[in-house]
Amino acid sequence: MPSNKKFVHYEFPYVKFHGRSYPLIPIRLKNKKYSVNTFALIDSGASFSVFRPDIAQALHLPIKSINSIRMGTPLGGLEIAISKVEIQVGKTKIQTRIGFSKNFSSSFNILGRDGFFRHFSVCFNEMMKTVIMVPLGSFPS
Amino acid sequence: MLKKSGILWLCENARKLEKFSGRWVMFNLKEGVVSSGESLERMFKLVKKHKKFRKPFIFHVPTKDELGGVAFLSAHKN
Repeated sequence: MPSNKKFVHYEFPYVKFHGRSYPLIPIRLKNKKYSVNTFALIDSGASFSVFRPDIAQALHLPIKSINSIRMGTPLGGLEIAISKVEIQVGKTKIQTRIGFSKNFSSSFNILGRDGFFRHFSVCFNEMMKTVIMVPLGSFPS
Repeated sequence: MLKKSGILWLCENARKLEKFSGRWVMFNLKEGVVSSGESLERMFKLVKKHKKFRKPFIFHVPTKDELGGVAFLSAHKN
């Protein structure tokens, strides 16, 4: 018998900056009563999500924390303070952990695998320049 | 899903936003860019006074140099 559960998916076009296209998605980050609407790059090559330090400030989250990890980048190591936040994509809300670093100030906010990709099936369509995301809780059973 | 969304606005206006490279922009779908600057904190203080600018989108416009290599990050616990 087919499931009555509604199949939810989101499709976002790539955004072009300086001649190159990037899979950015709109998100809302929330910490208690503080929230920001911003954009982040879906990056399957990143093992963790890292956001610019100014976002932590807007959410009243620390950029220094005892709960931190060290990350490797092509430009060297990066100390990242981990915080729990709510991320909203479309109508889907997830509770997860993201990192902030005062030394991370390059290009875009990054949504990496740990803490984000386990909540969505993500499909990059380089031909159409779109990213399609299906919240994993919404698959019909 | 995408009718009048922030991502469509960003797609349509990305080229125009390049003049703000290296700065934060704050926009909403009705007014477009309502503020820009280097300090996000200061921008939030300014728009707080204008109730109609509540819940704007914020975006740091990357410079061409920053986009040279989008980060590869691998974690190892401390």
